[in-house]
Amino acid sequence: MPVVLTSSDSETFTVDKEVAERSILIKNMIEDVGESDSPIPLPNVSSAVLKKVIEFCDHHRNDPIQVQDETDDPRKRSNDIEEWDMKFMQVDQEMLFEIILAANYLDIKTLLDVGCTTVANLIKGKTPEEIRKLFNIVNDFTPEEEAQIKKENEWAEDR
Amino acid sequence: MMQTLKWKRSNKPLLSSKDKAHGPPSPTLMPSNSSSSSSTSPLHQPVSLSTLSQTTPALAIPEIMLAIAAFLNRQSLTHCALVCKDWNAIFQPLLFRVILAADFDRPDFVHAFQNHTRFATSIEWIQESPTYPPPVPKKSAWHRFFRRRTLSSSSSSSLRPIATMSRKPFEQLEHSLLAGQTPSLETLSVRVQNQDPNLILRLAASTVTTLQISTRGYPARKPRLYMEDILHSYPNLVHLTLEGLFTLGSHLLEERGFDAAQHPYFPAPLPAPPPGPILATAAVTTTTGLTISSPFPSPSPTPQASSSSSTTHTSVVGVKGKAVDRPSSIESLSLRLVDISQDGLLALSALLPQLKSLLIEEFLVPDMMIKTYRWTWSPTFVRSLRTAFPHLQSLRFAFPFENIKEDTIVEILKSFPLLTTVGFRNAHFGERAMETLQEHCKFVECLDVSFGYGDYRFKAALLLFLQTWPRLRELEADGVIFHLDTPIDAGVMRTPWACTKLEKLLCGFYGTESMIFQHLSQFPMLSHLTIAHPSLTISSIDTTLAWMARSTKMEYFWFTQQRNQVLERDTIQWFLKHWPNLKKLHVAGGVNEQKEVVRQWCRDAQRLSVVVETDRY
Repeated sequence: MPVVLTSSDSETFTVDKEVAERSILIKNMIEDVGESDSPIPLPNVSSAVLKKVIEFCDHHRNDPIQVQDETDDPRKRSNDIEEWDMKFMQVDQEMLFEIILAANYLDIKTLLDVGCTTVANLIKGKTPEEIRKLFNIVNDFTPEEEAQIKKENEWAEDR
Repeated sequence: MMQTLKWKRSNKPLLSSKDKAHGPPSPTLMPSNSSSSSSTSPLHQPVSLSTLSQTTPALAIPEIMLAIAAFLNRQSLTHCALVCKDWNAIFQPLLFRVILAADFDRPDFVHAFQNHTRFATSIEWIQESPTYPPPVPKKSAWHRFFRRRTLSSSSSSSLRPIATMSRKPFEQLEHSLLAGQTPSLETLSVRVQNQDPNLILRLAASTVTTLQISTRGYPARKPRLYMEDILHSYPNLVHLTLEGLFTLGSHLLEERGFDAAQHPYFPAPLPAPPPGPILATAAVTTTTGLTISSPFPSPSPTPQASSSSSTTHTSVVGVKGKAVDRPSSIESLSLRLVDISQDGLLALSALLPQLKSLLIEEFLVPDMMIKTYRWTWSPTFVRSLRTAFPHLQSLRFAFPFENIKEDTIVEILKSFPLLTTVGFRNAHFGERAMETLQEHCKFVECLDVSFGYGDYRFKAALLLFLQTWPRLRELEADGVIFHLDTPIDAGVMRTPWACTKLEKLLCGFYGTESMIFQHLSQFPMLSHLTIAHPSLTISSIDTTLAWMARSTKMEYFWFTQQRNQVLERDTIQWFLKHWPNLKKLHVAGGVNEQKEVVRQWCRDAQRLSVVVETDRY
């Protein structure tokens, strides 16, 4: 049975239940409310983003659902992204973060992971100044503070 | 989230008037905005955050920042910590979450860590520093060993092996940890060199749930570690791993003294089930045994205990209020090389009422010869084992001298019908054991029968098992080679294996490479694959690897390359393309010079996380 989703800008999307339920939020809502024809409003997601999210869920509709608490040990996390996902994530920065926010809100672990990996890969290998430029962040450290932190963290630099 | 659940009732899009695409979508998503800024960026320029939230709202949510940080290495984390004050507050503590052994080689880390102990969740410490001298040539190993033994009575520090010179003082770890609170510390792994493992108990941390104590070598006298002492220092342990040449005992067994030694398996004074009263005694002993100074109560609490035919658990609770306030929460115990007697193991049951998983593993190391095997595996012992650890779900034994007979295995399997993991390496695991397993252990999901019997009838039984046991997830059968090139193998008609959910497989095959990979294609969930036989070329991908395209979960692949046959670049690239989760590729045999090339190919494909392993020779 298809599910109807409504974006924040009131556009409706009809998707297979199987696809919609990649989102744990939607899955729980459907479970709580039972079968219903009424559309599910997603006030935090715009139509442009929702379109992308649905595209992702549709592509991954047959993947096994990831167990929530896998491991947050950074050593065990891999930064490798499947080819399709990588292409999927080739969007501008604004959209990238919109997707991450939506994945977080809709509770779609795989999408959140792919999004966060993409951001992490952007950050990797960049100096602090380059990161500030990348995300348009103002440096609020005094030069002394910055030097102090830099010195304290020297031990972690080469790994 | 709650208000969204009401969608059925309100039944209308909530926010048609709300602003579009970007900008903070809803207050529920942005609670961190104000709180994090006020708490972390004081003084000057609180602009940073508002700037942040305007451009990229996601970057202002700590939850999402942490999710991103999980994919960053240390170096990137240090750079992030320098970006701005808000980021510093998020990233700085992350540097101290997982502490690796090598970190302690940096004096500035040791210093910095003292102010950040509260963030540590996992700490690993290895006593040998990387400048460890080259190992003593094998030739002189015996000489070194005997010299140490003979001089041990007059042991003086000057006779310590050379290794001591490059050893880090244990105080380094101790001082670092005692410098501050460690409320988040869950995993602690410590390896000492030629020292008494009891040292590690000085670190006492009640938050630790996973503890690994390893030793390499040992001081003049072989150390003894007592389970009561471990539990005293780490009362909330769930997983305990001990590794090294030391003895694991318990005060209660020792204080019972010759009783236990002379009358194996605690014969009860009453004709009651053997271990019952003893376990109760053990519990009583435990509580007093914890304060080492207190004298052992006269070794005759048996009548009192046996009168109440209570279980271990209740006995411990019954005498609660002294040193032990509750039974230990240990669920898994792994012993590698550690010396433990049969009585010793049974005696531990009083301390480990919740034990679910037990692993005892021996492997041959040069110093092994000093160990003598006192394990007899008598039927009485097996019965006692069942009574002592009734909740075991995972049982793995590996002894080097094939000393577990098939009768014993059959008896054990019958005794533990709830087992999900069964491992008997180097044991006489034969046809009868296989049949008993199928009859009595309906829940088995993981089976290790490596280096076992390996005869015709066992193989037939194993095949029948595989063809009818859909539940199986892991099979390790090193030494077993299955025929794929004949319709009948070991007298059994070859039919597809029923265990299509197999995640881990270790075995060998007879047949062409095409047959092998076609066979393996039945197991799309495979993540750990070891093909022990034959050597492979994997040259024509279309007839070999192409079968495995569905196995996207593959993380570990071990195979032997055909000698003098170079692996083709296409093959490696196929692995990298189709197995996105691949973490380790083990290429045994083959052309030596090529190993580096394979590594380079992985780097070229931007798969830095793939480890390429090769044999040493």
